[in-house]
Amino acid sequence: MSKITIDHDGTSFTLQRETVARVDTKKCINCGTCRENCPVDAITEAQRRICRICPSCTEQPGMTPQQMDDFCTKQSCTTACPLGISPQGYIGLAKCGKEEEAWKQIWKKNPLPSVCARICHHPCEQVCKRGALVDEPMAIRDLKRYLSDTVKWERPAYPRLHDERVAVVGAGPAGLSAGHFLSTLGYDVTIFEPNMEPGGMLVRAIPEFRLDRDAVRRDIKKLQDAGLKIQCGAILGKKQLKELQDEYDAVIIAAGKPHGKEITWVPKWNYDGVYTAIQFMDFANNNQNTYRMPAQNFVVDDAEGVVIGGGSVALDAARTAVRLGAKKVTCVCLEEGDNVPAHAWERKEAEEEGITIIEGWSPKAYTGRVNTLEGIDFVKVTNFKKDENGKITFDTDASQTMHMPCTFEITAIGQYADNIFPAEDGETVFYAGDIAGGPSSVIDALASGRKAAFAVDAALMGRKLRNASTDHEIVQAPMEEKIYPCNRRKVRLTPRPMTDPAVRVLNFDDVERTFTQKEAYNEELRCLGCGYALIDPEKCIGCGVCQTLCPKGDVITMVKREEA
Amino acid sequence: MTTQKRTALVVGAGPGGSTAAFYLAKQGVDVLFVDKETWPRDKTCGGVYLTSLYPMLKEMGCFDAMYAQQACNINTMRLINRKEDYIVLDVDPFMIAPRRFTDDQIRRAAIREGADFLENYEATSLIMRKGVVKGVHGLYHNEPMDIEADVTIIANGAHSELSRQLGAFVDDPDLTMYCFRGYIDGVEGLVPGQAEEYYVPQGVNGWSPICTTWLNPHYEPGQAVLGMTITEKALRESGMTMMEFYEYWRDNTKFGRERLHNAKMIDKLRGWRLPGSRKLAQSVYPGAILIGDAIAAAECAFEYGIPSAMVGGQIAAGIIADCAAKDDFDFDMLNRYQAQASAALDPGLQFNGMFRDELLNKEDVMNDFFDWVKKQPGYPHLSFSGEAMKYMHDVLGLEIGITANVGSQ
Repeated sequence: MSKITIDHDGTSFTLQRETVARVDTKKCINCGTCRENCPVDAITEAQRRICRICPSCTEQPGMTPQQMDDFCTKQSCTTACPLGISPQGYIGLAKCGKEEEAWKQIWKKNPLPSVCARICHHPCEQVCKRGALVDEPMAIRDLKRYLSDTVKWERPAYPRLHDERVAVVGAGPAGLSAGHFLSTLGYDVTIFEPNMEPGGMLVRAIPEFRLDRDAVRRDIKKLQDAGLKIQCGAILGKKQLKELQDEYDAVIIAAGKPHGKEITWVPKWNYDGVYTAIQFMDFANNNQNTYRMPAQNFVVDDAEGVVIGGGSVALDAARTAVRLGAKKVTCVCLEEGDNVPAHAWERKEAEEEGITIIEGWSPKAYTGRVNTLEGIDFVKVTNFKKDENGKITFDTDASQTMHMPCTFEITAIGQYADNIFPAEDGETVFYAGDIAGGPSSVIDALASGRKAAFAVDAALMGRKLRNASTDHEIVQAPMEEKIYPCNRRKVRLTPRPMTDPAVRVLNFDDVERTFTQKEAYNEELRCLGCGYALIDPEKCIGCGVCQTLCPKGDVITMVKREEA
Repeated sequence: MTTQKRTALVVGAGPGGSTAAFYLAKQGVDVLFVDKETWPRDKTCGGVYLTSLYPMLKEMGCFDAMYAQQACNINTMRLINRKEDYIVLDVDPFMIAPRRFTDDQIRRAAIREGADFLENYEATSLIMRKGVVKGVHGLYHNEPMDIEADVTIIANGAHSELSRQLGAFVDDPDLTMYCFRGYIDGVEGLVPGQAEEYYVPQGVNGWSPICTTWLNPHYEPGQAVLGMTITEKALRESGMTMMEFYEYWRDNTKFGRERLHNAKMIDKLRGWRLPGSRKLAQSVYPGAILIGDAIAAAECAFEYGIPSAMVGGQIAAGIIADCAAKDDFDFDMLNRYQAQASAALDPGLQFNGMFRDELLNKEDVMNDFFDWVKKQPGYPHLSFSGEAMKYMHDVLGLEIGITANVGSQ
């Protein structure tokens, strides 16, 4: 018995077949493929509740039972990912031996999967329920890295569906992402990059011990092989941007914030050996420029240094200085406690390498002879406040001062953009990445690039902006679908594979290594499997798309409507 | 290989190139300026900004920052001749500031104004089409990259390959110099605001007369910056190193002993070889204008390098902006630079050249000049350039048509 439903305005109709799709919740891995491709949006992500029979597992400090419920059922690793990739999905696929399928889940949505497998700040792991309820979160990034290193894959060539041409300025993560998604939609895209190597901050600022350059080159080469045009060495001025606007149907500005801020309000900030983190990392990353270090007077080897700033860039610069032979490196930041912007694991890795982090001090004066820096005076910060826009206000307590002897100083207090770009006009000029917001992570830049690509598509095709955000509804699973944390072994089977601190400070080799197959399998087994796809039989029309597309294969069956 | 296309290209982001880029951007010309170094970079020579440049620096919005960073402000000058006699004269005040900082400030002013900047780009040769300069071949991060331009300003200093390719820079072995700089602590007897310039007597192995040493007060009392300039010929003939020469001067001259008997070098003596060239008549070629040391490196050692480069850059920018407005980059249009630059710079260059050749390099004349100055009414509160001009005109009978105060020091 088929049922025809006609829209209230009579413009469209749907035909419901006799059968509906049914999900085997025990087998579903919540990869989201069916949900994204369902033509009638009949599928939602359901999150299992947590068993609260014995409160010992689920009682979290600072969380009421209601908050605990929200934590478990209002977010998932999929919603945490700015690109909307489902870690549970690819972990589940890898666990059942479908590693290629698992990797495909990642690269279909992520233009730089091998890069993210190394340096993503993994928001998915921060909401992983295993971390809150059992022992430690899943090592999702490491599993992704395992997949990136083991699976051989080719990106299919981009289709050419539209005549419109789009120019993207900047081949950093945001620009590459915008270019990739526009190419996927069938546009003719050219990326203009001022440097000789695409990658932006991935090759300029991120140290090699965190992100080996082979991974970057591999990912970008796959994009280029698929048909993305990247023109390197294209330095654009106002006039050239104007020409781009005339020549191309749309321009996406993803030029980033390539310059480091300096502490110009402190007198004598310009000693030799005072660098912005971007300059310093640029120097360390481009070995061919070593002989042209900005100040010839200054050597890192066997010297004491201070890094001003407490973010990821500051710690990267400090760790780089340690590898260049610095005797002692101290990070000094304005913020204290939870306000320190660096992630906890970054701090831990830095501290293991002998870097001291001193919180709550602001530079007051640089001291030195002639051009040589000899030390920095700091003054204690009080009343530190940061508003929603990220604007920082603080007072200083002049009675508390500190002197740090040092011969070089690296300033890592933020970055700024070039100011040559035209205003966003909503029709032909779009912004993406750091230049559109604050300096942020790689994964946020990729998401921002994708959003800009969809905005360009909407503007050029004259249609409504498709939902670029990854937010989707999560529903609570019925009571019988529960997770029992007590049943899980409270052990971390595979500790995150890191090189020993004493060894890793000696060179620029990657500090992490890839899981072996056995380690990866053990890690995959730890996944709690919190979510699954929930099909609304009322909406389902029984078309069978979900069954066809399901990468696991045995999850969805078509059953008679009456049975459902 | 990648190619860029620009209206104006400035090769070199030192004070001259950055000034040109600043004024070009200010007048709305599409300009790219390139430099082979990673900025900020240091230089061993110069660092002198004359009063006549202050309005230009103020216009660029970098004067306050530079003035705050100055090591010292010089308003009098002590000149010591080879007989170890001295005179003190007033000079137009000028500031000494570290070049690593000040050059960077001028470069930033140009970027703020809207000029595009590219570092780590080394221009290797000119693109010539039918005898017209159409841009440069170069290496960007060691990868080949061409930049084409309607007009090219060559401002990459005395080492410029480009000006040699045009034949504008003719190496003069007699003028090739070594310029050195060091910082000394514990110097005694320096007067605040007074620069000291020494003409070191001939000594061991027969030192050539063209050898000058400066001591300028630097930031704190007792701290001085030491500058030494010597021709390559003289250095070769003497067979000594610069450090040995410094020690010789310190131990064997009256002022050297007086000033430096307790002194210690703070920093290594650092320097570079500076090719020299007599200024040719022509600094404009089809499609290219040459400014600064790229055309006349001989003046740089006499504290006239930065002013001539910056003024030249300003004039060149004005002319190119006019050409761009009319979209006409013919040689005749560009060649107006020649007359304007000559009017602004030549009096100063001529005065400096003459002062050096006719007065300082001739030991007897210099001694006579000292005696003559001391007898003038009002000594020691006399103007350095005024007295020198008067002496050269009245006593030596030289013809000098000097009016501009550029480089009057």
